Amino acid sequence: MTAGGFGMVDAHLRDKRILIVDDERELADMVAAILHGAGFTCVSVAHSGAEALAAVDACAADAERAFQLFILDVMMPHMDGFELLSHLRQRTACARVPAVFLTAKDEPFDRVSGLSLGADDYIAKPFLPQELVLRIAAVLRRCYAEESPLLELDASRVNFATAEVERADGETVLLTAKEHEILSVLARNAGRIVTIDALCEACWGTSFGYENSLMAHIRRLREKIEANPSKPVSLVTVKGLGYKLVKRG
Amino acid sequence: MMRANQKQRRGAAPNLARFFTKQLLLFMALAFLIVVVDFFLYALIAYRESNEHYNDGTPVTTVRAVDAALSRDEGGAWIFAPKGLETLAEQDAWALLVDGDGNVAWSHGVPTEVPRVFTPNDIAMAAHYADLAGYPTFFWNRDDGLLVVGFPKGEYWHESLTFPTSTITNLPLYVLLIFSVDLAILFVMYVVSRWRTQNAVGPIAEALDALSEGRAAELHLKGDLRDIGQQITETSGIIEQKDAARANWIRGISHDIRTPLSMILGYADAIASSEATSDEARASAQVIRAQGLKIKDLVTDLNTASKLDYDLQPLHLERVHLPRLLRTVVAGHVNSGLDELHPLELDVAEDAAEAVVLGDERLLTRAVENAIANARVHNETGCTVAVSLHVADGHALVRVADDGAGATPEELAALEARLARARTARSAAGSYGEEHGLGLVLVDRIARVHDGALKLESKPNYGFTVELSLPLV
Repeated sequence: MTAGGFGMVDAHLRDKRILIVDDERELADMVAAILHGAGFTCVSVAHSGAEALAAVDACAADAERAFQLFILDVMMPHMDGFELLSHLRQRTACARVPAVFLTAKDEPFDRVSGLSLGADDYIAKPFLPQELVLRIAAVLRRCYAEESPLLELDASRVNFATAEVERADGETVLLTAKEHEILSVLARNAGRIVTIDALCEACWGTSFGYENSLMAHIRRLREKIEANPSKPVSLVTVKGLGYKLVKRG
Repeated sequence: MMRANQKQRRGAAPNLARFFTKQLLLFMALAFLIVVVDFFLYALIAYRESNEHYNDGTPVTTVRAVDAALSRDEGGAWIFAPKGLETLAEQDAWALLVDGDGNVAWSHGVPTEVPRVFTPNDIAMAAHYADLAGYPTFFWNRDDGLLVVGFPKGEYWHESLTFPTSTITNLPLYVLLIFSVDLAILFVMYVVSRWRTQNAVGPIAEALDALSEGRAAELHLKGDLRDIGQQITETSGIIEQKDAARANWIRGISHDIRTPLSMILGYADAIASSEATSDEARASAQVIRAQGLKIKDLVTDLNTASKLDYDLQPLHLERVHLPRLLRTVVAGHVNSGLDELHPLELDVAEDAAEAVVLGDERLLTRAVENAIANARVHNETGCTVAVSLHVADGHALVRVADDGAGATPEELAALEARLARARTARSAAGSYGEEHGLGLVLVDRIARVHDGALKLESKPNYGFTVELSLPLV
């Protein structure tokens, strides 16, 4: 599968160890091929719940080999995806590993029970390869933040560890806690639109009533990271939708 | 729309009751007519009978004949004409004449038990009872005495009635009273029957109403109507089973199609974007992918429509923040970067920034997605899709407008006619088959389950606009 990588998977996510569990061999192989094509290097496949548990147990002891993401089919003979996930969640090594359901059902009930079990996303079949890669990458980004604390922007460099912004003009300014939070959410989704609602939800826990505060924080952020805050090139507004962070290069 | 529908249907129960009320009224009117006709028949028969048998009938004619036949010659001897003899013989009757002193002056065929001498008392009593020694007798006043004609025993029944004058003058009032009482009884009967009929018919009408709206109907009636109740319940059960079977079938098919379709889409996409394949093969793979996506939309629409039809997917009503929903949908499309031919824009009017409707977020998202998909499908060469949100008259207006090829007024009319047909059809999934595609039909249905409406606008070369209006909270 030569999907060309789609250019959407951050480099630090490509070596995440992914386990695909689907009783339909062809589909499991195709998903593996799509992920390979998108740049993921450590993709394994299991064709039943038992096989998956065996594979998980085989490398549970070794932190360097343990799986970092599960892609589970819901409808499988003997042990369905929900059951498999609850088995996985009982293992301490896997309790916090993100899981994505892949299913031919799209009923709300399934969605709820999947997510309440601690699944991180739910992808309904049929899906386009790009869609699958996007959703997987989003889950990985959410769960495995970039190790490097440095964010290179057009007119500045942000160090998330110290909350410092080194501006191109040599000045160094500090980010407030809220600005830090907003900027990390945008950085995690660099190159993609983050809606106003998603930003507010990530920073205040609710999407209602914080739009004006958000705008104020964005304005101050721009003053810190942009060369010309009235003509932003790094933290751009997408009219009507939200904001997008553009990295340098 | 749905509310209006229900109102209209709710009229069905009174209609049915009105039918029975009319029948009852007719029945009551007939009953009253019988009373009136009986009364007049009684009067007529009584009059005719008394006329025939009394005034013009046998006794009087006989007495007259006897009177006419009896005379005296110059010598004072009685002459009884043969005509009189004949008449008496015919009736098996007898006759006598009492003179002023109470003695019998003349007689013919008088039985022995009849006295030959009468005191005024005897005459008065006999006249009063019209009876002489057990024989029905009639009297005739003559210049020379009182003519008495007797008939065989038991031939006539006589009762002399005496009433105060007031009774007779009040007679019309009494008749009126009798009629009034009859009417009152009939009215009470009518009211009771009507009440009973309505009680019996009401649940049946409601059950039929429910059936016609596609809801389940269960009817437990007592008495004679129990069978009807049972039949309606059974019918409802059969319909429900069929509906469930159909919905399950659609769900099963749509489920089973998904996995193979994933693979078709996945591999077609791989070929379409592979640099190792020829341009021709890539173009073919793109067609496969595009058609695969159409099947995907269709499967999802069909499933949603069937679930909406059979209430398998009860509405999860919650407060839906429309600007947020639209931002999520549009940003999702823009972020996916899957479709560069159809750039999306979103414009939320200032007064609509906090527009909240009560609805099912999944369905509303589906409606907006379908409207966007509609714009894309009909403009394969590309167009800009502008999504906007306004507020007007207590409604949130979600507009999905493209600047593509648009539709002619005829095409628009045909589309609207199709939506109207789908509206009257019991099921959106059921309207499938006459025409293809469910996209906008589903948008319309989703709008209506939210008490909203769908409006279409278009001009050739000026694009196509889908406007979804939803009542604000």
